[in-house]
Amino acid sequence: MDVIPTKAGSNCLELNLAAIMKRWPDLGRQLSVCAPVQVELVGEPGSGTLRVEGIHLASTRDRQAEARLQASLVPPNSSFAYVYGPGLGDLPRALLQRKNLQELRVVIMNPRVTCSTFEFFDQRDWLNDPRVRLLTATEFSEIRFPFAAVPPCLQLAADEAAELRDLVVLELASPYIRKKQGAENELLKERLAANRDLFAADPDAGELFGFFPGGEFVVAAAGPTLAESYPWLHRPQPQRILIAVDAALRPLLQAGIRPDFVVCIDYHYGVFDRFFAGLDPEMLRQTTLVYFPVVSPEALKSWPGPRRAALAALPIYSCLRRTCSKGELFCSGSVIHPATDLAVKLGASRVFLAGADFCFPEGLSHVAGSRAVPFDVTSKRDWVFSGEGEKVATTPSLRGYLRDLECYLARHPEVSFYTCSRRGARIRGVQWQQKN
Amino acid sequence: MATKKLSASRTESPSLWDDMAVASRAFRLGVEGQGSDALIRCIDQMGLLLEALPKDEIQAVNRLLLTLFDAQQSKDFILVADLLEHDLGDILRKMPSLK
Repeated sequence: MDVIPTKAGSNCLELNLAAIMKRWPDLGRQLSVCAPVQVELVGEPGSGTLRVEGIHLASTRDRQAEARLQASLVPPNSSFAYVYGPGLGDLPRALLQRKNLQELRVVIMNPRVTCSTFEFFDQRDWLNDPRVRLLTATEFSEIRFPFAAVPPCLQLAADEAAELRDLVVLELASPYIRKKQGAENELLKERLAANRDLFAADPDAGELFGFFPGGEFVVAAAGPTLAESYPWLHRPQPQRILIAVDAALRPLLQAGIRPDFVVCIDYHYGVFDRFFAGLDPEMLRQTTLVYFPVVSPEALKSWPGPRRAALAALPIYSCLRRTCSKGELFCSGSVIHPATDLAVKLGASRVFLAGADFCFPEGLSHVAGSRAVPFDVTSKRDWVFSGEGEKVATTPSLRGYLRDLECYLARHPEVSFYTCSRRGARIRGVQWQQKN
Repeated sequence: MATKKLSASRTESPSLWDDMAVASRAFRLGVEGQGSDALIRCIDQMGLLLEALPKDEIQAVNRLLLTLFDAQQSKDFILVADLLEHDLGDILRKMPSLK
Protein backbone atom coordinates (compact mmCIF):
# COMPACT_ATOMS: atom_id res chain seq x y z
CA MET A 1 0.00 0.00 0.00
CA ASP A 2 1.41 3.43 -0.85
CA VAL A 3 1.24 6.63 1.09
CA ILE A 4 -1.57 8.73 -0.29
CA PRO A 5 -0.59 12.27 0.56
CA THR A 6 -2.64 15.31 -0.11
CA LYS A 7 -2.43 19.00 0.43
CA ALA A 8 -3.61 20.77 3.50
CA GLY A 9 -6.90 22.54 2.95
CA SER A 10 -8.47 19.82 0.87
CA ASN A 11 -11.38 17.78 2.14
CA CYS A 12 -9.01 15.07 3.27
CA LEU A 13 -10.25 15.17 6.84
CA GLU A 14 -13.83 14.70 5.73
CA LEU A 15 -12.90 11.76 3.50
CA ASN A 16 -11.02 10.03 6.31
CA LEU A 17 -13.79 10.65 8.82
CA ALA A 18 -16.43 9.42 6.38
CA ALA A 19 -14.54 6.15 6.05
CA ILE A 20 -14.48 5.82 9.84
CA MET A 21 -18.15 6.78 10.24
CA LYS A 22 -19.11 4.04 7.82
CA ARG A 23 -17.42 1.30 9.88
CA TRP A 24 -17.29 2.75 13.41
CA PRO A 25 -20.00 5.38 13.72
CA ASP A 26 -19.52 6.04 17.44
CA LEU A 27 -15.81 6.57 17.00
CA GLY A 28 -16.45 8.67 13.92
CA ARG A 29 -18.78 10.93 15.86
CA GLN A 30 -16.19 11.27 18.60
CA LEU A 31 -13.44 12.17 16.16
CA SER A 32 -15.61 14.58 14.20
CA VAL A 33 -15.92 16.86 17.22
CA CYS A 34 -12.22 16.69 18.08
CA ALA A 35 -10.31 19.92 17.86
CA PRO A 36 -7.17 19.10 15.88
CA VAL A 37 -3.85 20.10 17.40
CA GLN A 38 -1.55 22.56 15.74
CA VAL A 39 0.84 20.81 13.38
CA GLU A 40 3.56 21.68 10.89
CA LEU A 41 4.06 19.83 7.65
CA VAL A 42 7.76 19.04 7.38
CA GLY A 43 9.41 18.09 4.12
CA GLU A 44 7.84 17.74 0.72
CA PRO A 45 4.05 17.37 0.45
CA GLY A 46 4.44 14.01 -1.25
CA SER A 47 6.69 12.42 1.31
CA GLY A 48 6.68 14.67 4.30
CA THR A 49 5.79 14.18 7.88
CA LEU A 50 4.08 16.19 10.56
CA ARG A 51 5.60 17.84 13.57
CA VAL A 52 3.33 18.09 16.60
CA GLU A 53 4.41 19.99 19.72
CA GLY A 54 7.96 19.91 18.43
CA ILE A 55 7.98 16.15 17.78
CA HIS A 56 8.23 14.56 14.35
CA LEU A 57 5.57 11.88 13.93
CA ALA A 58 7.65 10.01 11.38
CA SER A 59 10.92 10.12 9.52
CA THR A 60 11.44 12.83 6.95
CA ARG A 61 13.78 10.51 5.03
CA ASP A 62 12.18 7.11 4.69
CA ARG A 63 8.85 6.64 6.43
CA GLN A 64 8.27 3.19 4.97
CA ALA A 65 11.59 1.80 6.16
CA GLU A 66 10.87 3.20 9.60
CA ALA A 67 7.42 1.63 9.61
CA ARG A 68 8.86 -1.73 8.57
CA LEU A 69 11.30 -1.51 11.46
CA GLN A 70 8.51 -0.72 13.90
CA ALA A 71 6.38 -3.52 12.44
CA SER A 72 9.21 -5.99 13.06
CA LEU A 73 8.20 -6.14 16.72
CA VAL A 74 5.22 -8.26 15.66
CA PRO A 75 6.27 -11.86 14.95
CA PRO A 76 6.11 -12.54 11.20
CA ASN A 77 3.68 -15.45 11.54
CA SER A 78 1.28 -13.63 13.82
CA SER A 79 -2.28 -13.58 12.53
CA PHE A 80 -3.25 -10.86 14.95
CA ALA A 81 -1.62 -7.66 16.19
CA TYR A 82 -2.15 -4.35 17.94
CA VAL A 83 -0.81 -0.99 16.81
CA TYR A 84 -0.49 1.79 19.38
CA GLY A 85 -0.42 4.93 17.25
CA PRO A 86 -1.45 5.17 14.49
CA GLY A 87 0.91 7.95 13.40
CA LEU A 88 0.58 8.75 9.73
CA GLY A 89 -0.75 5.29 8.91
CA ASP A 90 2.56 3.83 7.74
CA LEU A 91 2.73 1.25 10.52
CA PRO A 92 -0.77 -0.19 9.93
CA ARG A 93 0.06 -0.30 6.21
CA ALA A 94 3.32 -2.14 6.83
CA LEU A 95 1.56 -4.80 8.90
CA LEU A 96 -1.38 -5.12 6.52
CA GLN A 97 1.05 -6.13 3.80
CA ARG A 98 1.42 -9.43 5.62
CA LYS A 99 -0.87 -11.93 3.96
CA ASN A 100 -1.23 -14.06 7.09
CA LEU A 101 -2.42 -11.15 9.21
CA GLN A 102 -6.12 -11.66 9.83
CA GLU A 103 -6.89 -8.88 12.30
CA LEU A 104 -5.19 -5.62 13.12
CA ARG A 105 -6.45 -3.58 16.06
CA VAL A 106 -5.30 0.00 15.75
CA VAL A 107 -5.42 1.93 19.02
CA ILE A 108 -5.62 5.71 18.77
CA MET A 109 -3.43 7.15 21.52
CA ASN A 110 -4.55 10.73 20.96
CA PRO A 111 -7.73 11.45 18.95
CA ARG A 112 -6.78 15.10 18.41
CA VAL A 113 -3.39 14.19 16.96
CA THR A 114 -4.97 11.53 14.76
CA CYS A 115 -7.51 14.03 13.46
CA SER A 116 -4.67 16.34 12.57
CA THR A 117 -2.97 13.62 10.55
CA PHE A 118 -6.28 13.03 8.75
CA GLU A 119 -6.19 16.64 7.57
CA PHE A 120 -2.95 16.11 5.70
CA PHE A 121 -2.86 12.46 4.69
CA ASP A 122 -5.50 10.36 3.03
CA GLN A 123 -5.51 7.17 5.11
CA ARG A 124 -8.58 5.52 3.67
CA ASP A 125 -6.47 2.71 2.23
CA TRP A 126 -5.83 1.12 5.59
CA LEU A 127 -8.98 2.46 7.28
CA ASN A 128 -11.05 0.58 4.70
CA ASP A 129 -9.12 -2.66 5.05
CA PRO A 130 -11.61 -5.21 6.41
CA ARG A 131 -8.95 -6.63 8.74
CA VAL A 132 -8.66 -3.37 10.65
CA ARG A 133 -10.49 -2.58 13.86
CA LEU A 134 -10.07 0.99 15.05
CA LEU A 135 -10.20 1.63 18.79
CA THR A 136 -9.37 4.30 21.32
CA ALA A 137 -6.98 3.90 24.23
CA THR A 138 -9.77 4.37 26.77
CA GLU A 139 -11.00 0.90 25.85
CA PHE A 140 -7.90 -0.65 27.41
CA SER A 141 -6.66 -0.86 30.95
CA GLU A 142 -3.77 -3.13 30.05
CA ILE A 143 -1.39 -3.68 27.21
CA ARG A 144 -2.22 -6.30 24.60
CA PHE A 145 0.14 -8.47 22.60
CA PRO A 146 1.64 -8.79 20.10
CA PHE A 147 2.00 -5.12 19.36
CA ALA A 148 3.91 -2.51 17.44
CA ALA A 149 3.96 1.17 18.30
CA VAL A 150 4.57 4.59 16.83
CA PRO A 151 6.73 6.08 19.63
CA PRO A 152 5.88 9.75 18.96
CA CYS A 153 2.21 8.85 19.42
CA LEU A 154 3.08 7.50 22.84
CA GLN A 155 4.81 10.75 23.75
CA LEU A 156 1.79 12.69 22.53
CA ALA A 157 -0.75 10.38 24.16
CA ALA A 158 -3.91 11.98 25.45
CA ASP A 159 -4.37 12.32 29.19
CA GLU A 160 -6.85 9.48 29.33
CA ALA A 161 -4.31 7.23 27.59
CA ALA A 162 -1.52 7.97 30.06
CA GLU A 163 -1.52 4.62 31.85
CA LEU A 164 -1.67 2.60 28.65
CA ARG A 165 1.10 4.80 27.27
CA ASP A 166 3.28 3.98 30.26
CA LEU A 167 2.69 0.25 29.93
CA VAL A 168 3.61 0.28 26.24
CA VAL A 169 6.71 2.39 26.85
CA LEU A 170 7.75 0.07 29.66
CA GLU A 171 7.26 -2.98 27.48
CA LEU A 172 9.35 -1.45 24.69
CA ALA A 173 12.16 -0.68 27.14
CA SER A 174 12.12 -3.97 29.03
CA PRO A 175 14.32 -6.13 26.77
CA TYR A 176 17.14 -3.60 26.88
CA ILE A 177 16.79 -3.10 30.62
CA ARG A 178 16.96 -6.86 31.19
CA LYS A 179 20.02 -7.11 28.98
CA LYS A 180 21.73 -4.25 30.78
CA GLN A 181 21.16 -5.86 34.15
CA GLY A 182 21.87 -9.35 32.96
CA ALA A 183 24.74 -11.75 33.21
CA GLU A 184 26.88 -9.73 30.77
CA ASN A 185 27.13 -6.79 33.12
CA GLU A 186 30.74 -6.93 34.31
CA LEU A 187 30.18 -4.87 37.45
CA LEU A 188 27.34 -7.13 38.54
CA LYS A 189 29.50 -10.20 38.02
CA GLU A 190 32.31 -8.59 39.96
CA ARG A 191 29.98 -7.79 42.86
CA LEU A 192 28.51 -11.28 42.97
CA ALA A 193 32.00 -12.74 43.19
CA ALA A 194 33.13 -10.28 45.87
CA ASN A 195 30.05 -10.89 48.04
CA ARG A 196 29.75 -14.64 47.51
CA ASP A 197 31.04 -15.79 50.89
CA LEU A 198 29.40 -13.07 52.95
CA PHE A 199 26.09 -13.59 51.17
CA ALA A 200 26.19 -17.32 51.78
CA ALA A 201 27.00 -16.84 55.46
CA ASP A 202 24.47 -14.11 56.20
CA PRO A 203 21.08 -15.05 57.61
CA ASP A 204 18.27 -15.47 55.11
CA ALA A 205 15.72 -12.67 54.86
CA GLY A 206 13.19 -15.40 54.08
CA GLU A 207 13.38 -16.63 57.68
CA LEU A 208 11.54 -13.46 58.70
CA PHE A 209 8.69 -13.90 56.22
CA GLY A 210 5.39 -14.06 58.06
CA PHE A 211 6.99 -12.86 61.28
CA PHE A 212 4.58 -9.94 61.70
CA PRO A 213 1.16 -11.28 60.69
CA GLY A 214 -1.43 -8.57 60.24
CA GLY A 215 1.19 -5.89 60.86
CA GLU A 216 1.10 -2.23 59.93
CA PHE A 217 4.10 -1.15 57.92
CA VAL A 218 5.46 2.07 56.52
CA VAL A 219 7.67 1.91 53.45
CA ALA A 220 9.75 5.07 53.21
CA ALA A 221 11.06 5.96 49.76
CA ALA A 222 13.23 8.98 49.05
CA GLY A 223 10.80 11.17 47.14
CA PRO A 224 10.29 14.79 48.19
CA THR A 225 6.99 14.11 49.95
CA LEU A 226 8.67 11.84 52.51
CA ALA A 227 9.15 14.92 54.67
CA GLU A 228 5.35 15.28 54.99
CA SER A 229 5.36 12.03 56.94
CA TYR A 230 8.01 13.02 59.49
CA PRO A 231 5.56 14.36 62.12
CA TRP A 232 3.51 11.20 62.34
CA LEU A 233 6.53 8.93 61.96
CA HIS A 234 7.93 10.71 65.03
CA ARG A 235 4.94 9.71 67.11
CA PRO A 236 5.70 6.50 68.96
CA GLN A 237 3.83 3.60 67.45
CA PRO A 238 5.24 0.32 68.75
CA GLN A 239 3.14 -1.80 66.42
CA ARG A 240 4.24 0.00 63.30
CA ILE A 241 7.28 -1.24 61.40
CA LEU A 242 9.29 1.16 59.28
CA ILE A 243 11.11 -0.07 56.20
CA ALA A 244 13.32 2.47 54.46
CA VAL A 245 14.94 2.34 51.06
CA ASP A 246 18.66 3.10 51.19
CA ALA A 247 18.34 6.62 49.79
CA ALA A 248 15.83 7.55 52.49
CA LEU A 249 17.98 6.42 55.41
CA ARG A 250 20.07 9.56 55.85
CA PRO A 251 17.09 11.98 55.70
CA LEU A 252 15.13 9.83 58.16
CA LEU A 253 17.99 9.72 60.65
CA GLN A 254 18.48 13.46 60.30
CA ALA A 255 14.81 13.82 61.18
CA GLY A 256 15.36 11.63 64.23
CA ILE A 257 13.49 8.64 62.80
CA ARG A 258 15.11 5.24 62.94
CA PRO A 259 13.86 2.58 60.53
CA ASP A 260 13.49 -1.05 61.55
CA PHE A 261 14.69 -2.27 58.16
CA VAL A 262 16.72 -0.75 55.34
CA VAL A 263 16.60 -2.26 51.86
CA CYS A 264 19.59 -1.89 49.53
CA ILE A 265 19.84 -3.38 46.06
CA ASP A 266 21.93 -0.78 44.22
CA TYR A 267 25.09 -2.09 42.58
CA HIS A 268 26.43 1.23 41.33
CA TYR A 269 29.64 2.80 42.56
CA GLY A 270 29.25 5.33 45.31
CA VAL A 271 26.37 3.72 47.17
CA PHE A 272 28.30 3.53 50.40
CA ASP A 273 29.44 7.15 50.19
CA ARG A 274 26.04 8.48 49.27
CA PHE A 275 23.79 6.49 51.55
CA PHE A 276 25.79 5.15 54.49
CA ALA A 277 29.06 7.03 54.98
CA GLY A 278 29.19 9.21 58.08
CA LEU A 279 26.04 7.83 59.69
CA ASP A 280 26.09 7.25 63.45
CA PRO A 281 26.50 3.48 63.81
CA GLU A 282 24.80 3.56 67.21
CA MET A 283 21.59 4.67 65.49
CA LEU A 284 21.65 1.57 63.32
CA ARG A 285 22.59 -1.25 65.68
CA GLN A 286 18.96 -2.36 65.85
CA THR A 287 18.23 -1.78 62.17
CA THR A 288 18.33 -4.75 59.84
CA LEU A 289 19.83 -4.32 56.39
CA VAL A 290 18.08 -6.44 53.78
CA TYR A 291 20.19 -6.58 50.64
CA PHE A 292 20.76 -8.20 47.26
CA PRO A 293 24.20 -9.71 46.62
CA VAL A 294 25.24 -7.01 44.11
CA VAL A 295 25.46 -4.28 46.70
CA SER A 296 28.87 -2.71 47.34
CA PRO A 297 30.94 -4.95 49.67
CA GLU A 298 31.99 -1.83 51.58
CA ALA A 299 28.37 -0.99 52.34
CA LEU A 300 27.72 -4.51 53.59
CA LYS A 301 30.81 -4.85 55.75
CA SER A 302 30.35 -1.45 57.34
CA TRP A 303 26.74 -2.04 58.33
CA PRO A 304 26.61 -1.89 62.14
CA GLY A 305 23.36 -3.77 62.59
CA PRO A 306 22.06 -7.17 61.54
CA ARG A 307 22.08 -8.13 57.87
CA ARG A 308 19.65 -10.36 56.00
CA ALA A 309 20.40 -11.61 52.49
CA ALA A 310 17.74 -11.80 49.80
CA LEU A 311 17.42 -12.54 46.11
CA ALA A 312 15.11 -11.57 43.27
CA ALA A 313 13.74 -13.58 40.36
CA LEU A 314 16.13 -11.89 37.93
CA PRO A 315 18.42 -13.58 35.37
CA ILE A 316 21.56 -12.26 37.10
CA TYR A 317 20.65 -14.31 40.17
CA SER A 318 19.58 -17.50 38.43
CA CYS A 319 22.72 -19.39 39.32
CA LEU A 320 22.74 -18.12 42.90
CA ARG A 321 19.10 -19.08 43.34
CA ARG A 322 20.09 -22.67 42.68
CA THR A 323 23.27 -22.75 44.74
CA CYS A 324 22.55 -20.40 47.63
CA SER A 325 18.84 -20.08 48.06
CA LYS A 326 17.55 -17.09 50.05
CA GLY A 327 14.17 -15.47 50.43
CA GLU A 328 13.04 -13.73 47.28
CA LEU A 329 11.68 -10.24 46.94
CA PHE A 330 9.93 -8.73 43.97
CA CYS A 331 12.12 -6.35 42.03
CA SER A 332 11.65 -4.58 38.72
CA GLY A 333 14.36 -1.96 38.77
CA SER A 334 13.52 0.18 41.79
CA VAL A 335 14.36 -0.45 45.45
CA ILE A 336 10.78 0.54 46.33
CA HIS A 337 9.69 -2.80 44.83
CA PRO A 338 11.60 -5.12 47.20
CA ALA A 339 10.95 -2.73 50.11
CA THR A 340 7.21 -3.01 49.52
CA ASP A 341 7.38 -6.74 48.95
CA LEU A 342 9.37 -7.11 52.17
CA ALA A 343 6.50 -5.48 54.06
CA VAL A 344 4.01 -7.81 52.41
CA LYS A 345 6.12 -10.91 52.99
CA LEU A 346 6.77 -9.99 56.61
CA GLY A 347 3.00 -10.20 57.05
CA ALA A 348 1.59 -6.73 56.46
CA SER A 349 -2.14 -6.18 56.35
CA ARG A 350 -1.66 -2.40 55.91
CA VAL A 351 1.20 -0.67 54.14
CA PHE A 352 1.71 3.09 54.03
CA LEU A 353 3.89 4.34 51.21
CA ALA A 354 5.73 7.50 52.18
CA GLY A 355 7.83 9.40 49.66
CA ALA A 356 6.93 6.99 46.85
CA ASP A 357 6.50 9.88 44.46
CA PHE A 358 7.73 8.55 41.10
CA CYS A 359 7.80 12.16 39.91
CA PHE A 360 9.09 15.60 40.86
CA PRO A 361 6.62 17.48 43.06
CA GLU A 362 7.55 21.16 43.18
CA GLY A 363 10.34 20.35 40.72
CA LEU A 364 12.30 18.41 43.34
CA SER A 365 14.06 15.12 42.70
CA HIS A 366 14.45 13.71 46.23
CA VAL A 367 13.64 14.55 49.82
CA ALA A 368 15.95 17.06 51.48
CA GLY A 369 19.00 15.38 52.95
CA SER A 370 19.08 12.46 50.52
CA ARG A 371 22.31 12.11 48.61
CA ALA A 372 20.78 10.06 45.83
CA VAL A 373 21.93 11.06 42.36
CA PRO A 374 19.35 13.69 41.39
CA PHE A 375 17.16 13.17 38.38
CA ASP A 376 17.00 15.68 35.57
CA VAL A 377 13.87 17.54 36.56
CA THR A 378 13.94 20.07 33.73
CA SER A 379 12.19 18.13 31.00
CA LYS A 380 8.43 18.50 31.03
CA ARG A 381 7.85 16.04 28.21
CA ASP A 382 7.31 13.05 30.49
CA TRP A 383 4.65 13.33 33.15
CA VAL A 384 2.26 11.47 35.41
CA PHE A 385 -0.90 12.52 37.19
CA SER A 386 -0.43 13.36 40.86
CA GLY A 387 -2.88 12.37 43.53
CA GLU A 388 -4.26 15.89 43.13
CA GLY A 389 -4.92 15.30 39.44
CA GLU A 390 -2.14 17.60 38.29
CA LYS A 391 0.46 16.66 35.67
CA VAL A 392 3.85 16.38 37.34
CA ALA A 393 7.14 15.94 35.49
CA THR A 394 8.86 12.61 35.74
CA THR A 395 11.18 10.35 33.77
CA PRO A 396 10.33 7.28 31.69
CA SER A 397 12.21 5.07 34.15
CA LEU A 398 10.26 6.37 37.17
CA ARG A 399 7.04 5.89 35.27
CA GLY A 400 8.05 2.34 34.48
CA TYR A 401 8.77 1.65 38.16
CA LEU A 402 5.37 3.12 39.05
CA ARG A 403 3.49 0.89 36.62
CA ASP A 404 5.41 -2.19 37.74
CA LEU A 405 4.54 -1.35 41.34
CA GLU A 406 0.89 -1.02 40.38
CA CYS A 407 0.97 -4.45 38.73
CA TYR A 408 2.52 -5.82 41.92
CA LEU A 409 -0.06 -4.19 44.17
CA ALA A 410 -2.86 -5.66 42.06
CA ARG A 411 -1.49 -9.12 42.84
CA HIS A 412 -1.92 -8.50 46.60
CA PRO A 413 -5.57 -7.72 47.28
CA GLU A 414 -5.09 -9.11 50.79
CA VAL A 415 -3.09 -6.02 51.74
CA SER A 416 -4.38 -2.45 52.01
CA PHE A 417 -2.01 0.15 50.58
CA TYR A 418 -2.09 3.82 51.46
CA THR A 419 -0.27 7.01 50.73
CA CYS A 420 -0.10 10.05 52.95
CA SER A 421 0.60 12.58 50.24
CA ARG A 422 -1.31 13.55 47.17
CA ARG A 423 1.55 15.48 45.64
CA GLY A 424 3.35 12.40 44.36
CA ALA A 425 2.18 10.22 41.50
CA ARG A 426 -1.27 8.75 41.72
CA ILE A 427 -0.71 5.04 42.31
CA ARG A 428 -3.41 2.65 41.23
CA GLY A 429 -4.37 0.43 44.13
CA VAL A 430 -3.28 2.94 46.77
CA GLN A 431 -5.68 5.02 48.81
CA TRP A 432 -4.89 8.38 50.26
CA GLN A 433 -5.14 8.60 54.02
CA GLN A 434 -4.49 11.81 55.85
CA LYS A 435 -2.05 11.56 58.73
CA ASN A 436 -2.03 14.44 61.20
CA MET B 1 50.04 10.56 15.68
CA ALA B 2 46.60 11.83 14.83
CA THR B 3 46.77 10.08 11.47
CA LYS B 4 47.86 6.90 13.14
CA LYS B 5 44.98 7.26 15.60
CA LEU B 6 42.56 7.85 12.77
CA SER B 7 43.81 4.84 10.85
CA ALA B 8 43.30 2.78 13.94
CA SER B 9 39.88 4.31 14.26
CA ARG B 10 39.10 3.44 10.67
CA THR B 11 39.75 -0.17 11.51
CA GLU B 12 37.60 0.24 14.61
CA SER B 13 35.18 2.64 12.99
CA PRO B 14 32.68 -0.09 12.16
CA SER B 15 31.82 0.16 15.83
CA LEU B 16 30.94 3.83 15.31
CA TRP B 17 28.70 2.86 12.41
CA ASP B 18 27.28 0.04 14.52
CA ASP B 19 26.52 2.40 17.39
CA MET B 20 24.95 4.93 15.05
CA ALA B 21 22.74 2.18 13.65
CA VAL B 22 21.87 0.93 17.13
CA ALA B 23 21.04 4.44 18.31
CA SER B 24 18.87 5.37 15.34
CA ARG B 25 17.09 2.02 15.45
CA ALA B 26 16.42 2.31 19.18
CA PHE B 27 15.06 5.83 18.88
CA ARG B 28 12.71 4.81 16.05
CA LEU B 29 11.44 1.94 18.20
CA GLY B 30 10.93 4.08 21.31
CA VAL B 31 13.72 2.50 23.37
CA GLU B 32 15.05 5.78 24.66
CA GLY B 33 17.54 4.30 27.12
CA GLN B 34 19.25 2.13 24.54
CA GLY B 35 19.30 4.98 22.03
CA SER B 36 20.84 7.37 24.52
CA ASP B 37 23.51 4.88 25.62
CA ALA B 38 24.48 4.18 22.01
CA LEU B 39 24.48 7.90 21.21
CA ILE B 40 26.94 8.54 24.04
CA ARG B 41 29.26 5.90 22.59
CA CYS B 42 28.93 7.54 19.16
CA ILE B 43 29.87 10.94 20.54
CA ASP B 44 32.87 9.50 22.37
CA GLN B 45 34.15 7.85 19.22
CA MET B 46 33.48 10.90 17.07
CA GLY B 47 35.54 12.99 19.42
CA LEU B 48 38.57 10.96 18.41
CA LEU B 49 37.75 11.22 14.71
CA LEU B 50 37.21 14.95 14.79
CA GLU B 51 40.72 15.61 16.05
CA ALA B 52 42.17 14.66 12.68
CA LEU B 53 39.69 16.47 10.47
CA PRO B 54 40.02 19.76 8.61
CA LYS B 55 38.42 22.75 10.26
CA ASP B 56 35.49 23.08 7.86
CA GLU B 57 34.55 19.43 8.33
CA ILE B 58 34.72 19.81 12.10
CA GLN B 59 32.41 22.79 11.89
CA ALA B 60 29.92 20.88 9.77
CA VAL B 61 29.85 18.03 12.23
CA ASN B 62 29.58 20.38 15.21
CA ARG B 63 26.63 22.21 13.66
CA LEU B 64 24.90 18.93 13.11
CA LEU B 65 25.63 17.73 16.60
CA LEU B 66 24.14 20.90 18.08
CA THR B 67 20.94 20.28 16.13
CA LEU B 68 20.98 16.67 17.26
CA PHE B 69 21.42 17.57 20.92
CA ASP B 70 18.60 20.09 20.68
CA ALA B 71 16.37 17.40 19.22
CA GLN B 72 17.37 14.97 21.96
CA GLN B 73 16.66 17.57 24.63
CA SER B 74 13.23 18.12 23.10
CA LYS B 75 12.70 14.36 22.99
CA ASP B 76 12.19 14.59 19.22
CA PHE B 77 13.73 11.16 18.83
CA ILE B 78 12.64 10.52 15.23
CA LEU B 79 14.58 13.63 14.24
CA VAL B 80 17.56 12.40 16.27
CA ALA B 81 17.40 9.11 14.38
CA ASP B 82 17.21 10.88 11.02
CA LEU B 83 20.14 13.13 11.86
CA LEU B 84 22.25 10.20 13.00
CA GLU B 85 21.39 7.80 10.23
CA HIS B 86 21.26 10.19 7.30
CA ASP B 87 22.76 13.61 7.92
CA LEU B 88 25.68 12.68 10.14
CA GLY B 89 26.20 9.40 8.39
CA ASP B 90 26.37 11.20 5.03
CA ILE B 91 28.95 13.67 6.31
CA LEU B 92 31.14 11.00 7.86
CA ARG B 93 30.96 8.76 4.81
CA LYS B 94 32.17 11.58 2.57
CA MET B 95 35.20 12.40 4.66
CA PRO B 96 38.35 11.44 2.81
CA SER B 97 40.02 10.50 6.05
CA LEU B 98 37.42 7.82 6.60
CA LYS B 99 37.59 6.30 3.11
